[in-house]
Amino acid sequence: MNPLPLLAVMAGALGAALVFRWVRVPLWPLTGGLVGAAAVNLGFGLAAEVPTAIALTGQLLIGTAIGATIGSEVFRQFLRIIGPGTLAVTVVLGAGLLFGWLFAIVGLMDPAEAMLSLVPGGVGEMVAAAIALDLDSAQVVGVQVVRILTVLLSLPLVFRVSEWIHRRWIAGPEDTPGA
Amino acid sequence: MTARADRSGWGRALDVLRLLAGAAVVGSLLELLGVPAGMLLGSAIGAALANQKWTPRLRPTAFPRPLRYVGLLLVGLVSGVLLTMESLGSTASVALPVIAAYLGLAMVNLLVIALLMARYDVDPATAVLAVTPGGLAEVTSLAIDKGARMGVVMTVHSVRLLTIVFVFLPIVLAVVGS
Repeated sequence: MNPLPLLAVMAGALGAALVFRWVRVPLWPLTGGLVGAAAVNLGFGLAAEVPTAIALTGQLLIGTAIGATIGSEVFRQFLRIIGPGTLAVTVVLGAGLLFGWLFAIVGLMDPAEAMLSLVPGGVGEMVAAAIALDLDSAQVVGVQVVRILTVLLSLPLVFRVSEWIHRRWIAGPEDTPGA
Repeated sequence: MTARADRSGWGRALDVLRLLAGAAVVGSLLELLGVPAGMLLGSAIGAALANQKWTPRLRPTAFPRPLRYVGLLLVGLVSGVLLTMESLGSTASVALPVIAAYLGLAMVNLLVIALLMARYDVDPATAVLAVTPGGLAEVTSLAIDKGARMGVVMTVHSVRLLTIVFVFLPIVLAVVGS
């Protein structure tokens, strides 16, 4: 396998990530890596292939970072949060199914592709299912990426509103600084 | 001073290697068993187990931020390479409706966020990241940056992922495949 396309997209990913860091884009290593790799891969028509080992290494490093923050109290929290967690999941998945149905009804997408594209699940699992069903997996990838970028880039606003709600309606006077 | 600094440096390196070893063992196991996002979930579980104070000599350690950034970069790279001109073209016609739909969901999610904060005493950052329909890697990485409660965030997202893979996908595959 010719390593040059892979090295080129890696360089593009790193360069874009550094630019995104400079302009303070949320999760700059991830969003910059994605945009940079896509730009180089498509711009130069490289059709680069990323070895599975690289994908697994990325997941290993992220998973390790997550696990390192988990203390023993987490396992006690698990059962306590399962109820509201299920509610949150039901809302998010229900919305995804509704969007898929609406997109199919108005003719924007094929029903099965709409479901796989719009339900907020793992991109890999959704794409694998699309391939297994002989659907347009390229569109599933594209729409899932749009979803992730929309969610990530709108998060700063969601954080601000949530913090306002907490300060205004939920936090008691003793929680207010200076009270 | 130098010797103590060196031992501290080597000690820290060994602690990080312990985390990675635990992560690699459990992550590889779940990946081989075909568990969805097996490496990601398994490495989080393995690192968490390796980072507990099982003996008086074992000290929990933090994972170096640069290594996490490398992981995020690699995940971004893998996702970026998946995009093709074909996928961009077929996505372009639906991009705006998708953006509008998920911005609308963000507004609806504020109700769930408010419920988590009011009823379950969850802080804003944790509540937001628990319900955010983003990728598991992205959301949990943001949770670290924001100091959110990892147990809550991971629980909710794990339930979401497992529900999709073991309930939603089999139904779609059965209905469409037939």
